[in-house]
Amino acid sequence: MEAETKVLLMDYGLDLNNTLARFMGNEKLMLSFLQELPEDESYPMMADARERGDWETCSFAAHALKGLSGNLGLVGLYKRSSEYMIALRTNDEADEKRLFPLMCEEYDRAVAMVHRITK
Amino acid sequence: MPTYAIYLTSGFGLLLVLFVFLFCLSLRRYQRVIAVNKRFIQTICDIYEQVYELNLTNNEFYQYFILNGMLKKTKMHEPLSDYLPRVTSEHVYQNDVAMIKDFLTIERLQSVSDEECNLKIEYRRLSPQGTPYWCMLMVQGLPKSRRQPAIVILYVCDINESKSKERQAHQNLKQALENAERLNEVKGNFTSCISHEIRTPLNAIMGYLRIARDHKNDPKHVVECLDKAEIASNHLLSLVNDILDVSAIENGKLSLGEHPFKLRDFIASLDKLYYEQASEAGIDFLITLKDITEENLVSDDMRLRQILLNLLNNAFKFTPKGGRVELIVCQNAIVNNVAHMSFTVADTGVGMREDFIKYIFNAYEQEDSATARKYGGSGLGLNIVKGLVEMMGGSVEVVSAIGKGSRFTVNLPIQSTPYEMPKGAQCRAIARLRILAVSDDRGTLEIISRLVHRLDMHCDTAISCFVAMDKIKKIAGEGGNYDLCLLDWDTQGQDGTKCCAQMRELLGDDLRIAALVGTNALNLSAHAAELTLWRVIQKPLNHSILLDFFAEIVSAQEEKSEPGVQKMDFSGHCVLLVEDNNLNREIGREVLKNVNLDVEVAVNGAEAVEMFTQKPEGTYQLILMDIQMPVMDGFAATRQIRACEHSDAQTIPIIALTANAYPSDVNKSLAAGMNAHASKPIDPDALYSILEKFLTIKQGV
Repeated sequence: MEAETKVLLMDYGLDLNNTLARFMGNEKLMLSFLQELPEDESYPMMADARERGDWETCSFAAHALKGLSGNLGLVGLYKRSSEYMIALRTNDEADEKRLFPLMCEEYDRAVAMVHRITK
Repeated sequence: MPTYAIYLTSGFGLLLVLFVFLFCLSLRRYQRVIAVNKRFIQTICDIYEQVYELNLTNNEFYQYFILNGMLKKTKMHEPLSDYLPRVTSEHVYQNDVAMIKDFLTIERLQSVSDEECNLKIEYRRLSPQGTPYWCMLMVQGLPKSRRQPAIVILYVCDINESKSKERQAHQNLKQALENAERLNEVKGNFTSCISHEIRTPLNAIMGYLRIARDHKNDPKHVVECLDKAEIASNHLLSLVNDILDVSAIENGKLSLGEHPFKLRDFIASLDKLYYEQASEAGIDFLITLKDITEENLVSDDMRLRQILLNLLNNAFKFTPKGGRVELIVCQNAIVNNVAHMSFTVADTGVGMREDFIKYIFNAYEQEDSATARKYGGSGLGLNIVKGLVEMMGGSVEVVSAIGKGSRFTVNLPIQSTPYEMPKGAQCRAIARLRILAVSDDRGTLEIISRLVHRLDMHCDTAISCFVAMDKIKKIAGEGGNYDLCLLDWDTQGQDGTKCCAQMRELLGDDLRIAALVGTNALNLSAHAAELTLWRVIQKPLNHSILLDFFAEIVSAQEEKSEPGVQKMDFSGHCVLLVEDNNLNREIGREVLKNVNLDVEVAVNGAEAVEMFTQKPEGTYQLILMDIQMPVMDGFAATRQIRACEHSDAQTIPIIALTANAYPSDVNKSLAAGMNAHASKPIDPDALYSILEKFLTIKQGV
């Protein structure tokens, strides 16, 4: 892995060691999966469902995003999506409203990082 | 009408009206007085068991009683002069008959009537069942006038309850007086004893200081004197501390701390402290630990130590040369992280008189002054023990017999804390170890199994060498081997050597054999190499010892397998991975392929059910099932798989794979028919460990 990529990943706060271990130490494989994040449908599905007030689909997509971000070592996004999941699970409207923008922000940050390493 | 008018207007008429009015008025007043008197007598009848009116002039008597809520006065047919001798002999307790006869005579009643006074007497009546009870008999002379007869009222009242209370109060008072006198006496003895106890070390300190000054030019002598003065100072300090402790406990000013400590270290420190002292005194000192599974405890270890030191000091003090002192530590039960422990200090010393045992825990008590003179001590130790034990929520018991020794047992609930558990790769490596425990003592096997299971490991047990050999042969036949054999040397007796040799004959040096010994560990350790033993382990086994050994084995195995990295190999197995998210599915596939698994994928539960049911028996060896999926979720898919006709439906392992690790999710997975639960994000090592439990593994480099 190029030093610059590594710095970008570390700057973002990627859980490099554990994520690399998940991909059997194969950096290339790890990066290839990371680069697919913007194409993953979970986030747009979640945002769309939320706008329509379809909370079941929203929760379903948030759960998928949580699993994916965990597997990719995106610690910030994993944390935010976990919190958001709990808010949905407990029907906590105030928390849902508070946490959704934070999760979007974290998703944007992760996607921005992916774009930068792709360049 | 005119006739009435004449009457009314006349003076006679007026007088008649006035007379009638006054008559009615006095009649009403009289009736009121009668009613008040009636109520009063009724109350008297309620209070007293029997009420009689004795008419001395007419030699007759009446009884007052309440019938159906109404007061009745009935004349008795017997003359009073006949009644009195009869009543004083019937229904009266034999011992009190003479007293009552003397009290209840016509002459005495006459004098009561004359003097208009009252007299009382307490005596015992007999109940219909013939049991005596206390009564009070009272006679009261009524005021009389010339025309009225001499009347005396006789009341009988049951005072058994108040008498019994009075007796109890009297008894209590007597006991309190005795206790106060006794306390005074023991305090007096204590003062003289404690003065002696304090004076002895104080004299020693002053004496040695004086000798040191006299020998100031002899440094060796000075140092010796100072050493002795220091010993005496320490003794004095402990004595003063005891006095302060008793005072603090009595005044509720002593507070207990909570410190984590290891039971093994705690007991080892006691062993170290008394080992030399016991050797010098020619006393056999044994420490036995029974059923110890929780060794990380939280309590006031300093106070616990003080309790045991007091008991052990006494045991050594009262046990002559050639005797034995034993400390037995036992964990009787573990409930909600509380270890219910007993600490028993038993000795074969002089013992105590039975009548002294009830006073043994009182402050300032010693069996007699001769004991204090002969053995020393303040008599405060056991009082401190009891005070501390009670503060800690426990109890202390003692059994003793003159010439046979004493046995003190302290029962204490002590908080236990979670064990240090291995983490990460070491945890998984330890979990893979295969352990065989051999002992003909089922209790030992039970303890080993419990300790091993706590580390998430499996342990085979064998009740004899013969059974052990069978198990070893079976594993060897499958191409495997145990990583460690824990062989109970004591219970195997001389067969330990023979059993060890048999194992070596079959497996050569490949098996690590650790001998578990209760005593003489040092002796056996000297022959460990000769007996080809890997380790000699002193019983009781505990969590830390086992963990250390397992970590050592794992580390040795890792060193042996270096420089290559040991990797699992599940080749020949096919796994169905069910995951709706494309990226997660691909990541999962990569992780599984890494250990040479064939992977087929399904994108939701319905597809998984279809794939499984349509494939022949034995196609898949395991299913990894995501829970939340579109079309059909993991729970429904699992239920359908388990319910279908496929020949693998009941046996195929289904592992839940989900980012939700809430206990409710885990329970739902198990309820749906899944076998285990792996969490996302995927931890490859953890997932492989789970797979290993369900698939046959090939170890490869």
